[in-house]
Amino acid sequence: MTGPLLVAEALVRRYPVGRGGLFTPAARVAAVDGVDFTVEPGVSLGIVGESGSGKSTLARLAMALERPDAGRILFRGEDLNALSASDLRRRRRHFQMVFQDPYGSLDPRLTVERIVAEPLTVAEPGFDRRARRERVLAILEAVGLPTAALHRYPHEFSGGQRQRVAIARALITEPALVVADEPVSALDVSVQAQVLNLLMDLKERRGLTYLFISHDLAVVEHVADRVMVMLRGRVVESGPAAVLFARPVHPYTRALVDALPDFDADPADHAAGAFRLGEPGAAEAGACPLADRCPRAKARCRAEMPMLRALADDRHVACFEPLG
Amino acid sequence: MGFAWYRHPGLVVGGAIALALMAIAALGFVWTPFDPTRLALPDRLQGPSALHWLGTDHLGRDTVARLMVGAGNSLKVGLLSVALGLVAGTALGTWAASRNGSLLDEAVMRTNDFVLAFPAVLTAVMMVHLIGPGAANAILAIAVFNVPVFARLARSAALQVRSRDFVLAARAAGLTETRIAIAHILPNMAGLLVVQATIQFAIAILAEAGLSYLGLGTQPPAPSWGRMLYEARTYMQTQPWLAIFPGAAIALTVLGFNLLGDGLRDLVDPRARRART
Ligand SMILES: Nc1ncnc2c1ncn2[C@@H]1O[C@H](COP(=O)(O)OP(=O)(O)OP(=O)(O)O)[C@@H](O)[C@H]1O
Ligand code: SF4
Ligand SMILES: [Mg+2]
Repeated sequence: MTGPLLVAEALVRRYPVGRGGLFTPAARVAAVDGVDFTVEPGVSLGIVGESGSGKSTLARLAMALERPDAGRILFRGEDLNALSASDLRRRRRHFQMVFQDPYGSLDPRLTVERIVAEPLTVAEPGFDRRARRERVLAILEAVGLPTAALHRYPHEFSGGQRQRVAIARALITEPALVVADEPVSALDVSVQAQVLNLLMDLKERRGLTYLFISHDLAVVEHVADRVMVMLRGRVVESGPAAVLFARPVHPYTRALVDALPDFDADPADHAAGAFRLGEPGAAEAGACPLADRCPRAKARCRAEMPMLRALADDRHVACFEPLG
Repeated sequence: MGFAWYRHPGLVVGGAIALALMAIAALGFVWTPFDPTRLALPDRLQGPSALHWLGTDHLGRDTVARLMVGAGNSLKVGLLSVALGLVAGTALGTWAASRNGSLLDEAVMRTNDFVLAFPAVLTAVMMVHLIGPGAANAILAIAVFNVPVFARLARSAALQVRSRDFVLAARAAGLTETRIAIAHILPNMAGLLVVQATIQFAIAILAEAGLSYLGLGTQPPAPSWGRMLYEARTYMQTQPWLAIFPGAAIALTVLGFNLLGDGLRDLVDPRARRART
């Protein structure tokens, strides 16, 4: 084996909150707070978490679009942020991104041909117009867009078609890794499934590995082989998708799974550890962020931050009182 | 399929006026029916005739010739002052945008607000009083009130374009920052800037006329529309055409460039673009 595709080591990214005073710097809050993960080739990783849990920040760090305040991001063993700017640009053809909002991620002034061909102009500067157009046409066909799309502008397409354009653009350099940040959540429910099926299909046919982000557990379950659950910039549970969804051990994951419609979890321990979602408590340093809304909370949960630790069945959990 | 001109009547009319004006001004550089500055007192204050189409002024100078050369002067002052304001303002605004929220950004924008608080023509008049009259100083003075207009527009446009995901997507594709600025940020700002430049041009023409009317802009004997209006004021009752023709020239020019600006605004908005099949 050639080793992992992507490795995140203790990634931290802090943002200023507010503007600070004239002489005092703005306070900084960690959007991503010590995250580790490994993506093996062919094993897609799903990241779930509620809004503001740091998923998009993690995606930008994984794509080396932002520098972490601490930690490293390694693509095929190379620390991306240690590369020179031009070396990093040359590597980019191997990892590409699909953004959440296809209305914002496509330049409205360019034709589809230029949008889709743009990564190719960097990856294959030797290509002439004809060669580029051939590649664009091939990839448009692969994502289910007609040849006539070539000379059209983004605003002439529906949301689903635009996301197809964005996917074509991400795939034209034949990357090994595709980071997809909520690629369907901005779309009409009726077209979400189509785009998801396209992503699944492309994964099969092109041997892609996804870093797939969503706040929707059902979507992640569909696409990912492994899953990582995030809460306030930290990982609370991770493991193989099948195990994690069938038998979540972290109370928070459990609540997410229970919130899914018609999900067949074992009804026996249904009420065991669930609590209501979407009630952010006061985040106290040195305590579990869920301490004030978790029914399983003990004194220790209020006195100490639970660290991620390994369990027997290839998963990790950050909880003092895991379920099961 | 060609350009559907009938969908943009304002653009077509405004564009036609602007083009006609430029053609007349260009012609005025090489040919005029009479010498626009030569005195011919015996012919003074004539009404329109076959010889002098639009009559003569109080010194016997031909109005057509003076309007033609005046057009060139107006366009020159308008073009240079707007170009100066556009370049300086865009540079200042995008620079402020790249330091969004810093004290420098704050200082630049508050200074802008201060200048913008004064009416455009008043700013120009005060400036010329400070630096002295003349066409070159009029250009400078008009440029001064154009700078904050473009700076404010460029700043907000650059901030807005920079925050869009397609800039991030371009970075992810491996484009250099310079190429991103040229290929994505400037083109997405350019439409707004051109529209504004056209509208500022109309204001500059008006300001130049105002300055020249007050004797602060283009200096006699060089003909200018504003000065022609000033000289016509004594004869309003007896020879009204002396005021009507330069007045109409100013009004038509301002109207033309405003129509052009509005038409361009519709056109550069990509949502207004039609499919080309
Ligand atoms: N550029 C930024 N500047 C300042 N704060 C930021 C920035 N980007 C993200 N944040 C903050 O970091 C936290 C995490 O944001 P992030 O967008 O990564 O979350 P997310 O999980 O993607 O949420 P969503 O589901 O809403 O997309 C949020 O509190 C957000 O306000
Ligand atoms: S550490 Fe304690 S409070 Fe936090 S999730 Fe586990 S049991 Fe609940
Ligand atoms: Mg997000």
